[in-house]
Amino acid sequence: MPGLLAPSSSSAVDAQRQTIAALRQQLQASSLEWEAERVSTGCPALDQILPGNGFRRGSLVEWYAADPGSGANILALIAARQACQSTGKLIVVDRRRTFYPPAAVAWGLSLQNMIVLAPRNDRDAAWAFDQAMRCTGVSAVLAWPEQIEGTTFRRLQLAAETSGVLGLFVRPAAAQHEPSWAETRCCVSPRASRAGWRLHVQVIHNRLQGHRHGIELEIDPHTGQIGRANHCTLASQLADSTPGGHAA
Amino acid sequence: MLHQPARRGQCVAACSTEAERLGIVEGMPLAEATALAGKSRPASTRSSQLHLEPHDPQADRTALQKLAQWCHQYSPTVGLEQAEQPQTIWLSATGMEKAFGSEQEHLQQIQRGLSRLRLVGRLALADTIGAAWGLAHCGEKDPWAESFRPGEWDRPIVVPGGQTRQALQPLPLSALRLPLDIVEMFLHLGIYHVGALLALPRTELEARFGPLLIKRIDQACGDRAEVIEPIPTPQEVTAERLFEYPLTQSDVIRGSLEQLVQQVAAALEARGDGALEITCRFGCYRAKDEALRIGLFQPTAEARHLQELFDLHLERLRLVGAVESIKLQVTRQAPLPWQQQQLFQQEASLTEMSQLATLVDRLASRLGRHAVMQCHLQSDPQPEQAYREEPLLSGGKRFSKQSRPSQQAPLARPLQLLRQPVRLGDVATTATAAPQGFHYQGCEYRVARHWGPERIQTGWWRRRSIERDYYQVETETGQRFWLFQQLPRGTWFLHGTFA
Repeated sequence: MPGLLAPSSSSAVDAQRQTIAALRQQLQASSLEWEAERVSTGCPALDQILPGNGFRRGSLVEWYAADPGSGANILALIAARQACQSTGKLIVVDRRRTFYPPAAVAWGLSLQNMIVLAPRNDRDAAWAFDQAMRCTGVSAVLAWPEQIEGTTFRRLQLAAETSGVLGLFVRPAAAQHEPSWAETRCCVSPRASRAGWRLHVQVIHNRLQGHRHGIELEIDPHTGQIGRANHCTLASQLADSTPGGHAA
Repeated sequence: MLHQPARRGQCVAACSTEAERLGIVEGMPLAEATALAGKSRPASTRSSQLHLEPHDPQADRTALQKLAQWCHQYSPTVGLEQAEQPQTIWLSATGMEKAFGSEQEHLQQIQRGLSRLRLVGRLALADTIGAAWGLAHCGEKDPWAESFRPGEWDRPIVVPGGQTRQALQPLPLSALRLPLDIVEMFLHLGIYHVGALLALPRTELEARFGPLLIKRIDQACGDRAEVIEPIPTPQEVTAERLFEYPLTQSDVIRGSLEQLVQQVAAALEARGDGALEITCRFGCYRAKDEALRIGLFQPTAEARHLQELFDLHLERLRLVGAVESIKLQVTRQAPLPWQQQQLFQQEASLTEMSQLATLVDRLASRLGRHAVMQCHLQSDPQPEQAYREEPLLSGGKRFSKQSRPSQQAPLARPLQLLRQPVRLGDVATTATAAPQGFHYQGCEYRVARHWGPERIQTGWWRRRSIERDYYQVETETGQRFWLFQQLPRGTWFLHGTFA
């Protein structure tokens, strides 16, 4: 049987050359994806399970909060912190007016580089999100859209790719069954723990990765460090968390 | 405290009211002032309370000139005190009672305007510049007020016409703008008030103390003319169009507005200025006029950008009558930022800043100025008051003040705080009053572990003081909430989620 290494005719040689050229083109295209600037999630353990060790600038990331008090906001916020570093601008679209800036500062964000928007209705919120995603002067946009129409979502994805802005949505868990143009989609659910705060993060979709990945993370309540569960520091293991608790 | 160079070392140039209460006065050596401030406070708070800065006279003068320009809305003639370090702004009040209703109302409007700028001014109205200066600087009470309270020094003083000499009588000698050495000489002679000075023979005063003393007395009493040297009036940039027939077609109105915007942009560009605030007034036929106000993040003279912002406003504007005139007025302007041709990274960052400014303008135009905000931390134990929101287009400093690093642990406060705490129904508690279980949004939660209580209490002097015991709870499913028990009633509330 003729093989790649033993062509038997010139037409076969041409066909093989074309195949090789096509494969090279595909490789180059995928390497461009990899070479695009990556932003760490803020958690090295989570970076390891993502292609390129982080989120791609100019993409959309969806976090699905399984329940209230699930910790999804924290993960989105530290990703925003990484995207903005020291000088980048963060736009927060706070439609429900529940965003609490002092807590964001405790997580290392700078209010100096943050603009908070308070749109009065969902339509204005969607418009504001769209405008912010198109601005090259912005590093990241954080929002809590409950519903996003398909055409709007596609427009946001194109805007992100053009401007290089990292769009971070935190949405209810039910939204994971809706069509999405986000490059990365993660479901966050809390877990009971005796030490720090444990979260289960399931990467249910990544455009460059075919299969799902899950990881258990633990947040050290004293330092805010987020690591792989069962790898946390001794201090958090010894923290008294039994019923009866401890006084602040 | 502000300090400035003195003959030996540094001395106090100005200090706050709190510093004055400690005995610190202007001219005091800085070391002495610092020692006084340190003695009065506990050691743990000393370093965080005392704030020293060098006095910048040029910055003071520039700020005062800017304020004088602002005062043009209250008087056509505004001037600055002719002194090395001016502290006074003159406004001519002649004929102003017709525009403002009364002299008292005129002064009150100025005071309200100053309050909006977070400034406290001492205002006095008299027949002469000298008397007004003396009353504003040295008058502690308004003797013509029907009822006055001692210490109400920021209340405007209005001296009725023809009673200037009488108003000057009780004032100290410094009210006459005399040099310090002349004042000290009179104090040494036992003359403390202007009234006693005016009773002395005039010829002897001139012979002994020179012509300046007589000049100041005459200026204060109105015997010698003194005029305000006006500062240049800022030239307004306006454009207006009056229509022969009232218009109702929106595209025609928009087209006319576009032409006016281009005129305004051209006028601004010609003088090298950019608009920070533009007002557009639509005169409506037999109906109330409508006005739009556009604020900008940074000065701009780009007609296209201004038109985009107006278009965003026009989408939401409902004109009740046909439009018979349109007037554009630049109410605030500033020199256009000069952007040097930069290369590579710096050029990119300038473009990004420009893009950000455009974004802020568009957001503010569509969402409203108060919906585009920057947050600042406040030192307040009540969680809702621990920060304040300021519109980004308020004209204050932007992105200039570094927020102080938080001293709280990352999980000390929830990322989502409800605007109004939600009252919880029956909350099961332990023997130590910690929460054991609660209902929220139709779900029952059992607490696996908790942290607290953290007692947060505000002072009795607050109109609504609070006393709350906060608990951070983690449920059996790992969810975290921030609850508090309101004291003394013991009612439970959910205030935030660690979402």
